[in-house]
Amino acid sequence: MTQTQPRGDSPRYPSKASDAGEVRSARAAAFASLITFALVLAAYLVLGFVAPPRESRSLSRPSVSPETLVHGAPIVYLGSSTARENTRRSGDMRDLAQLLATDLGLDESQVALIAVPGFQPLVYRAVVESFATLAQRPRLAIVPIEMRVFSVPWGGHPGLQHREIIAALQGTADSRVDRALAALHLTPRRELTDWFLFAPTRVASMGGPPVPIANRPSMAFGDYQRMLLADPPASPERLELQFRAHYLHPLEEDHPLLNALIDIERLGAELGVTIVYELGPLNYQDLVRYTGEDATQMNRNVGIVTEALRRNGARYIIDSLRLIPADEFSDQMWSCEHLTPTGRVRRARAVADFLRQHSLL
Amino acid sequence: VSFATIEFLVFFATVLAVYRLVPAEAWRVRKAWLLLASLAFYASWHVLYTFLLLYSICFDFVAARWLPKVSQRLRPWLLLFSLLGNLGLLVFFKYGGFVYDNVTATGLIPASQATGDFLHGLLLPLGISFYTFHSISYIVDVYRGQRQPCLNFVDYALYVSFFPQLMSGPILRAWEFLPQLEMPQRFQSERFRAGFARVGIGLAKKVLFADVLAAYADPVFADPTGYSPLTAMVALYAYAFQIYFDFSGYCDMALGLAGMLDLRLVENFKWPYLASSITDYWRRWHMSLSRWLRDYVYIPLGGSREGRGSTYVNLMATMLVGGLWHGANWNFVIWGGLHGVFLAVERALGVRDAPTEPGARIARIALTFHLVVFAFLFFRIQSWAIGQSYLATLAGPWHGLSASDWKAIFLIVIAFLLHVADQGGRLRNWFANSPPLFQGAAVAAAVIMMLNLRNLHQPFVYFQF
Repeated sequence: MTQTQPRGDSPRYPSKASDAGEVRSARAAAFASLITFALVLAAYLVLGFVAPPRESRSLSRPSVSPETLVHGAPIVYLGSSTARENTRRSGDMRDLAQLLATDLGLDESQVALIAVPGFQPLVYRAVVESFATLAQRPRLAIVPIEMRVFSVPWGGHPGLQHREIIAALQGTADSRVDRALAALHLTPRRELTDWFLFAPTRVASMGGPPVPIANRPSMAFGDYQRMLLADPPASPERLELQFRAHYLHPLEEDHPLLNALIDIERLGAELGVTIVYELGPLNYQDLVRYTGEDATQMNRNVGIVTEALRRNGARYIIDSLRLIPADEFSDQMWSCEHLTPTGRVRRARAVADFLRQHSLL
Repeated sequence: VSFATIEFLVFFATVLAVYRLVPAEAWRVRKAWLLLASLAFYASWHVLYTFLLLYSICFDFVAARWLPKVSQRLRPWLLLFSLLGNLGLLVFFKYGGFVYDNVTATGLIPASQATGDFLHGLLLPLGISFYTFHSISYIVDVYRGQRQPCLNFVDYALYVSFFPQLMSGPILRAWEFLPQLEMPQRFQSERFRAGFARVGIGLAKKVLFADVLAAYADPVFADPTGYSPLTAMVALYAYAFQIYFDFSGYCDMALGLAGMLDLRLVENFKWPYLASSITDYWRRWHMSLSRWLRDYVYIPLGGSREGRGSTYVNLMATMLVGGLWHGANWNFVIWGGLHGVFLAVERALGVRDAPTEPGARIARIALTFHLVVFAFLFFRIQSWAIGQSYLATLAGPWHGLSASDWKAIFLIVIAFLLHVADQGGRLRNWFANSPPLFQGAAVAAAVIMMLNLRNLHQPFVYFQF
């Protein structure tokens, strides 16, 4: 601590005007400053109408708002990359929402897909929360559950993109003020803003805690990442390690991501949105083939999830976990849930059948 | 509640317009209007917590009125009661979870999930660290007989809740503000213009520097792994300038807004990165907090009156309190502890004063700056694991700089040059006296940039304290 007094200075102002003329002059200067300020802002406003800014919402935060995501559709399908168009880039390129709409005989605009890369219940909770701001809320939300999300290398570290999406959904994106500003063409101008947007770049993959492998020694995070990113074909040993890491850890009942899924049910009840959970398909045949009897841990984990959801009011849970045979998974070198076009059609049909059977349309 | 938003500018324009419409002679009406606006400003963040603010105001107003009336024997007890009332609020809301975690970790009391969740789930009332310190300084000053208790409730309430300084200071002493409220403040064109210019400067600092640098530094501090050591280093310097431009930008706006409303606040910064020692740094950085700590912690502990050893202990204790004031986290304690060590070492070595020789002076400024930046690493990290990861990244394999890194460096250099150029208030005073057309256009340009960069906007850093 300092001995001498770090006293704040009084604000320093220009010398005081001493006679009436100077007072008038000072007042005129203050008035001129304010008028100029107002005129420049007005000119900017006029410029907005004369030369509207280019679309530039894709700044450092993604432009995510419930309106742009849902478009007033009565059915919303939340999902990850597995719900988007097929990753083989050939054959049927429709996403799960389009396939579901077709199965249900609905116009494609009636089923909206909200899919972010990487499955993340925290994002879906934020999305469902944001339904509260919609004038026309969806009637039904389908929430897939990809069981790998509860594993350490997957679920514990929502990526920056997820944090940004959540922040955008909870923040001011498309708030009333935003809408008012947009109506005045006061949206950000890319020509002004591009220079100010820069983010640091990584030179190596992200780090993380050691990755536990069920019934096997843990792996260093970097080793695990390298194993995932290694060129195909994957050896049976590698696939076994991946299956063990992703699915076979005993799930704790108070896992934060399970709580996020439970919150979605509660939010849905509050907002009048029916929540339908879908235990997303995983390559169960290969899981059993590579991990043997240890695969039963997966069933115990699923039991914990469904029990927790039902205990908290969930009425609709589609079990598509074992729906898809091994050859309909598109990524054979990873324990991954991406499906071939045939598998995607099968998955969408199971959802459609469930909705029809339970008269949820 | 952030100053750098279009909502606030509309709010302030309304407050200012009504304030100016009320004749200066109706000073009581003007004060009541400012109080009403301040409470509305706070309520726009949280209605329920506005009652907490009101409770704090009423509690100390009444306690201070009673202090001179009670017997000498009872006065310390009344003071203690008041302090507990203030500090109790602060401890409950800000440190409850932290204290609970650490006490349960020692095994003194059994841990309870529900209690832990409750304490950690409490929403921290914005500005509580600031308005509590306002109140404590007032009640202690009255107790010490350094000022008479305020008899006018509106004046006292405005002293605590005046919206330009409510969220993040500067921490005012009652004698600096209350006398201004006792007599009508006349409109002064120069003060108004200087205030207007200061608002523009603060806004530009926040929008063009603080938020932009934050967008660069935040991802690195969120997870430092995978970044090059140079990027991590640039991010650390970026954070040092981010926090300075953020907090000093806020204070510029606070002083400017107050000036436009005919009132004065105290300066909080004096070009801190040009300090020639850590002692000097604390005369320049968050000055209102450092003098508060000096007057109400360091000197009551004995200051430097009781020998060297005791002085070092007092310095360390004061800086630890200062660190903890920023937040209920060990990283702030470490940051405060580091500054305590720096101050003690400087005192032991007798190098608190600036050297006269220019070369030595520049070297000392550079050394001080880098010590401050290093300490900021501990201030900024969210957890010890991230801190370790950050240090490991700094010691990692070397890589070149990316285009983003160069942009960040460019902005940091510009920020530093402006910092140097403004020394003694040169730029600020020049801008306050610049031609009206230029001044008005420049402030409007800052607002336009605020509109354009609003996707990058973050709350002011010190709002979280």
